[in-house]
Amino acid sequence: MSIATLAAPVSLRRPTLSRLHLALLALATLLATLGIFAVTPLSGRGDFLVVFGIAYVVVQTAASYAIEGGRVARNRLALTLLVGAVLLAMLPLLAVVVYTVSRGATTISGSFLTHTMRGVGPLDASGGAYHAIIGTVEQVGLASVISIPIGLLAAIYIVEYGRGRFAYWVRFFVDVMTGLPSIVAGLFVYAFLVIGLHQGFSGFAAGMALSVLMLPVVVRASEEMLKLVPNELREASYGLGIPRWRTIISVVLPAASSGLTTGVMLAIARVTGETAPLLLTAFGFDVLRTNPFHGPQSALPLYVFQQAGSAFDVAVNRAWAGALTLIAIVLLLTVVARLLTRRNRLAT
Amino acid sequence: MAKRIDVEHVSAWFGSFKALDDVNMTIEPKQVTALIGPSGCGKSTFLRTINRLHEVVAGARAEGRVLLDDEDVYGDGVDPVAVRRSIGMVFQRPNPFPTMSIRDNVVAGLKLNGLRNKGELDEAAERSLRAAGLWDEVGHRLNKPGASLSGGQQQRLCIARAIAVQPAVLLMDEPCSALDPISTLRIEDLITELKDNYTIVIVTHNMQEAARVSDTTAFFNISGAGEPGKLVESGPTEKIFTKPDDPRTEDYITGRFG
Amino acid sequence: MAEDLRLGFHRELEEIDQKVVQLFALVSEGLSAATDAFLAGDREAAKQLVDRDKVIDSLYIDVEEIVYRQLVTQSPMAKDLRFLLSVLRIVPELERSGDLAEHIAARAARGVATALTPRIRGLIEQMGLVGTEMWRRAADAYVERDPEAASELNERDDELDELHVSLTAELVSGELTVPIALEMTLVARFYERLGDHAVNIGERIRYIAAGSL
Repeated sequence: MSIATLAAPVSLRRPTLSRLHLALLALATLLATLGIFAVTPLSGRGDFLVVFGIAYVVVQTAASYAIEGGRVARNRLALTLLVGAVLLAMLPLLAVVVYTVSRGATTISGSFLTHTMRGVGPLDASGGAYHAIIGTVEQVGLASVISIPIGLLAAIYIVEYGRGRFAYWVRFFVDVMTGLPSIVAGLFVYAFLVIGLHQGFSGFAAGMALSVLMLPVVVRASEEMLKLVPNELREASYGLGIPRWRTIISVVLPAASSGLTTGVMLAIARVTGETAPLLLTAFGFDVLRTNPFHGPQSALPLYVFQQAGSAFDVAVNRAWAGALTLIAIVLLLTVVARLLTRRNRLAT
Repeated sequence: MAKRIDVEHVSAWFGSFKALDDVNMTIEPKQVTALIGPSGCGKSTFLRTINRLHEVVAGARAEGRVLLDDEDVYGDGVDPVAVRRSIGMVFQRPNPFPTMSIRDNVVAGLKLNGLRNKGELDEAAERSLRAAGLWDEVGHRLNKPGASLSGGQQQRLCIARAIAVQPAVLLMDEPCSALDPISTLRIEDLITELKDNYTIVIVTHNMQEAARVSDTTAFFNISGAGEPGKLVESGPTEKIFTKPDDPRTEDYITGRFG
Repeated sequence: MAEDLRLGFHRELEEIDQKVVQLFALVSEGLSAATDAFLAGDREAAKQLVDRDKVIDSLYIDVEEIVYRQLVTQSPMAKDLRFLLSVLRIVPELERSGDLAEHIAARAARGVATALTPRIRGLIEQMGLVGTEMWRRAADAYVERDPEAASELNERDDELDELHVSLTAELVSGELTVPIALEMTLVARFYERLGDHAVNIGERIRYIAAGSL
């Protein structure tokens, strides 16, 4: 490259494809695809979308190359492929939600949410999930009461006091426990509590199994949140002659509080939908049982499982409604947790 | 209230790495002593051995005697927490407690150590904020969060917090290095006022600041990478900055080595 | 690594040092030449000294400017600070001494020397010698940063003062006409002042070297 070329004035502007251009290209490709589908044996919505998608990518890249130049064309192609991948990844999730809403919306109603399955025959369209909702609330509540305090204290130990080997092994075991299959947790409680201690099925047993699953999540999330508290705050507190335990309670925990709340809510949301452990511990029950300590109890995931297994449409409809309820609860918890994080991030 | 500090044969380690070797010096009460030296020379480590904050880091330890008016803070049976109650510390980056209001920040040292009487706490808060030169600016809005102040104000808040517990000694680890020049000068003026009542030790890497603010200056140095820091020379500030005894001191001060 | 820092500043310090050394040379040679010119009544030589004094004056201003700049921009400490402060006190003494030498030489044009008695001539020669030696000693002391020179110069200045006293006694004795005697008292005074300046410089050099006044 000669000096003359470098010194030659280069315009900072180049021709670009505007949004309008892209829209026109998309439209043209759409019409072309329709045309192709009209003339060839190809048919079906899925195929249409695939052909359209591929055609559009080709057309856009070609147009970009011609008008904007090689580098921009490659950039556009990469960007389009990335966006496509994201859409593809979100597709199953959206499909699940949309389908659940569509199948469950017809059956869900005030009556569904406030009635149990008492006296409902195999062909009856009535009946609801009230007992299941209560069961889930009680079981998850028990699990939370057990695992949140223990998990938080364990996290405090690991972060604030843990030096050396013991803390290392605690962290190691917590990591292993996060990978524990949920059915194994259920089986353990079944063998130990239900059979071994002759307690029989109960909501409490379900709560125990859920807490085994919830505990490592609470510990890990709390550990991360506590680690995020800057060390300078602890130093400032020690510098004032405030003992360590007091520092933790009055300085570290308040500073980490929003993060800890979020972590706890996400743990609850995760555990609310676990089904496998409930099979062996709560077992399911058609009628409302408010005492979780004695006798089998229903829960939403169990309810869905049992209703869906029936041969009759009325039951399957109820299963969908139950699934919708479950998704709604989990979604609510997750959204509130995220809002809490955002609010606290803005406040500082 | 201000106490004298005698340091005898103090050395400090981080695990097996020796960071500070055999420091001996006297820090006079009601004076400002500045610790200067290149990065990594151990001056901050030395500062933290005075109030036993050094040993909070995992694996860190210190040896030697640090006498606070003839009482050894490393003596048998001495509680490090009690030591830190009588030696205050201000850090490089202002660190007010984010979840507490201005008032709660100032009295944190008192409140979290058991003082509950609201009247006494309010009085302590006003007294400390006045001493720190912050009362006029925040006296009317004590309930605002501590983190809502500017950098210079936050640092003065931290100073108020440190002096609220009425310590004998005030340690300051590069208190102005994160601040703009005007805030820096304000705090330097404040230090000059505070020395009437406290023994102040300040670590600074800014030599002009050491010259402006201190009565005594101590120069720390390391002889090479991986070597422990040592105290090279300590003396009246004017002497150190016009004709120090040790050529290494003069080399550092005139910028003939980094 | 150590010497790589503040190169610009050190170059400026060296420039100041060189200029001061130049000034010393100009003054001490100037003093010797002035004495000769005066005693010989050499107008040419006297004129050269006047020109030389102009060089001294401009060099003096140069040095002061460079020193002011360092004080403002470099925050000098310890030996750098002592050096710069001392240079600020030394160069005016040099400049004044240059003027004094010029004044001595100027008397050559007036033909004063021809009217002198041999004794008075001898005393002037002697004062010129002692003065020149003192100035050469001061110049060496500056280059070597010798703190001992101050006391030596003090002693030699006593010698110069004694010569001055003798010269004054001679002038009073009445062998010269009044106008010539008046001129000679001035010349004697010039030499005596030159000695004092050299002593002052010795003390400044001691400050640079040892930090004490």
